[in-house]
Amino acid sequence: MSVAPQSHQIAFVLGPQYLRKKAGKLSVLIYDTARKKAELVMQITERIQIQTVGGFEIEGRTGPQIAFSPDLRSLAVLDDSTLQMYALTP
Amino acid sequence: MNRLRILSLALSVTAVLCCCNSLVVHAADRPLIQANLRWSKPASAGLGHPSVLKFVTSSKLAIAGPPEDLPGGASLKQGRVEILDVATGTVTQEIPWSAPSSKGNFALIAALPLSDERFFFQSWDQLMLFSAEGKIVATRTLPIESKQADYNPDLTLWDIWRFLSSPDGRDLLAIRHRVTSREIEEHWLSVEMLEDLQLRTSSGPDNMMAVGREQELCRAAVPKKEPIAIRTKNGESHALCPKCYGSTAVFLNENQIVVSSWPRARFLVVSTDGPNSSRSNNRQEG
Repeated sequence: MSVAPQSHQIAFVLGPQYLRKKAGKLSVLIYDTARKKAELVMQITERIQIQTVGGFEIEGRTGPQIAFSPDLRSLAVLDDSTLQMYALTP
Repeated sequence: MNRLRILSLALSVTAVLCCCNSLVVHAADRPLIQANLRWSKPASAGLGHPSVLKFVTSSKLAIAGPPEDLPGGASLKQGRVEILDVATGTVTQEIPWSAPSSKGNFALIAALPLSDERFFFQSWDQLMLFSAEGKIVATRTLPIESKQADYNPDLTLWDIWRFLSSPDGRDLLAIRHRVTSREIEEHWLSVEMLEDLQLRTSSGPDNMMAVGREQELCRAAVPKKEPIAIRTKNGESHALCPKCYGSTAVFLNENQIVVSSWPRARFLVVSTDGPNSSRSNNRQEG
């Protein structure tokens, strides 16, 4: 959860409601406290990694790391290999 | 832990405004706020799992990789934090850092935005205050004590420092968890020179979550039994509101607090007046 004091906005991330076999999606939303409205910004597919430990397959699901700028005008998304920067515009 | 948090948040997208006239607002099915890709670049070697991914200003992103042990069994591990220009993605500054190899990988680095586009950076026992232009304007060395663990002679325990800043970036709190005692030190630092403005010592658990200009938010000792507490500096704490049970709370601004709570995925927007405020006018639930 990130907040933007100047614009009175709250950014947050929602994950899949249920675990499924295929990768789910993470939804990035922004809630505007003045307009009392949540808006979907983008969706990011979660990553499924399977490791074999002691003969057992262990499945891990991870999302990218996400950071919002203080003014909520920029969004940084980092996964294992790529860093992406988005401009957020209404 | 992050995964659990995400799963818990996934329970609902519905935002509810809790007023005299209840209003339910659903998240839009399609983006109303456009996210346009500015730039994309491969993560530098060692930056795949950073311990810091933080905007230190609206135009500067700090990203740090995990520490790397120096060859030859050196007593120090080292790393670097890159400051990227948000508009172009170019590295405008690199800040080296180092820490004892015997130190865990957590609580080594902190980066916080401050007022006037300045930012604060911590590397192990070194504090640095940077100007908007990226110049160091003040430094300070923290005291850090260590002791051998009673249960493992090969394990060295160190003091841990945590850092919090107010929403307007004009207040900076350093919290020291001492390894040699149960005392917790709360150092209010000047955001001009990083010297102590005020020192408070407590023997209770460290439960500070966020700080504002005049108030602090504290996690309940038993979060599911007690709501999040708020207290004025040097004052007594009290429940933020009767329904403010939550895992995380941050200051949205000096007058509003956001509480992320359970069991339903929801957040509350609460007035800093807390229980003294009018319920119908000062709380939103989302």
